[in-house]
Amino acid sequence: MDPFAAALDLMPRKYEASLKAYAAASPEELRLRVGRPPSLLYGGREHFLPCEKVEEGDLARVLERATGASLYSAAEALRQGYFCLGALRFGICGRVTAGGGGGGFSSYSSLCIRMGREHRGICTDIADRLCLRSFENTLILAPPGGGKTTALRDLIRSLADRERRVGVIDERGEISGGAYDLGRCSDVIVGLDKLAGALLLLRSMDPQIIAADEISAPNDLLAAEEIFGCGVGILASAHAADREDLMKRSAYRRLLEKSVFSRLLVIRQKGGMRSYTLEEAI
Amino acid sequence: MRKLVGAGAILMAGFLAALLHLRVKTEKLRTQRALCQCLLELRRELLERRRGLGEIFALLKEKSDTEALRSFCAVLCAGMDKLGDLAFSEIWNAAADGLVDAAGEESADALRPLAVVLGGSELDRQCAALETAARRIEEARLVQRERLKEEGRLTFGLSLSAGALLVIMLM
Repeated sequence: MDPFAAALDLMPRKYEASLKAYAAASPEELRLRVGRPPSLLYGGREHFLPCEKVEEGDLARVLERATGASLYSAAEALRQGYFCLGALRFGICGRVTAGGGGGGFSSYSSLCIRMGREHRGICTDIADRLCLRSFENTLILAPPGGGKTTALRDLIRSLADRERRVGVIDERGEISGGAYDLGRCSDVIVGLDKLAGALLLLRSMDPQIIAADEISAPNDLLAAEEIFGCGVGILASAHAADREDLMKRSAYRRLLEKSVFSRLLVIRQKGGMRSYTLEEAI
Repeated sequence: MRKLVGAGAILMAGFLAALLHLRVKTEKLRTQRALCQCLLELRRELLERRRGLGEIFALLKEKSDTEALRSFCAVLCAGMDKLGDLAFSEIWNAAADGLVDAAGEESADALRPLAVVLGGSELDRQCAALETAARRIEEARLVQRERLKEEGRLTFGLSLSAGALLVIMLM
């Protein structure tokens, strides 16, 4: 099912007609905020729909329908920021319960549904360049919502279709999204953190490259070093606008100084269009 | 002789009516006990496996050994297919209302607070609410069991006395 149609299916009926009119715009995100009309993100900016305001009950109803009234099953993922269902990624804001650690909410105020898309071929040229000799470890950089996961997905597919064995650590099921094609030679482990996933893939699948999305936690960086130390290629992504941005953070600076990554793929957005630039890491 | 047979038949009818009355009440106790076990099983499934509620309800329906509880779980299973059009609280409350005849108003009352807790993101709160509901139902069951014992003695005593009186009058 098309991600937008899947998101539409979860929406309260009162918004159905208004939202359907925007299907052709291929929105990237659908946002519901209590006391505001729903909005869609496309063309690089947020567009508010001319329909009635969202109530808290609407958010609860959408989450109930999405999770089969079992939000607790996604609580662990929510503690890390979001949870994924198929091609949809749900982020929630609201009042967090004491001791909930971000996973338990007593009320909701905002819901962001990101609709993952498969843009086949956007990174084919990049994959060609990365594979000229042996694979060069690459870190994909973009700000939140900048298309890192979409690019990562296409790179994985391009590399795995070039007969490279790519082990994919899909911590929250966002990369594989249930139905995305990740290429002929990809092996995907879903639901494990990056360090545990890396160790499992190294032991069991003999990968040539290990790919992971959004490395940010200390253990994620440790996983990157672990993979690097084993002589296996790394393909990962991180939140940063460019190299300068990345170097402001000591953990990433250390990774670059250790030459864990030799290439940066920087995604820039201008007027709703994305450009992909491959740069030297050091 | 005919009078004796008639008196015997009346005595038997009174005895059977008392038995039937007690059987209905005993069935209610059985349903309450099964409902308690069902809630605790739901709690265990949430804690240990974190399965989705729809899946758990289907599982509990299979495991149910009383007709009333099977029907309760069946209402929940059918309701889960209508999520979105119906809120979970509406589905749960409809199922609880359906249990009033079989498990009593006090059981339905114990179930109703779960409508706004189950399915949320806070697992601890759901488990605590399930425990509370199971405890309330069990307490109500124990009170009713004691009352039923008294009632049983009284019903049999009364039916036997009434029958004996009739026999004397007919003789």
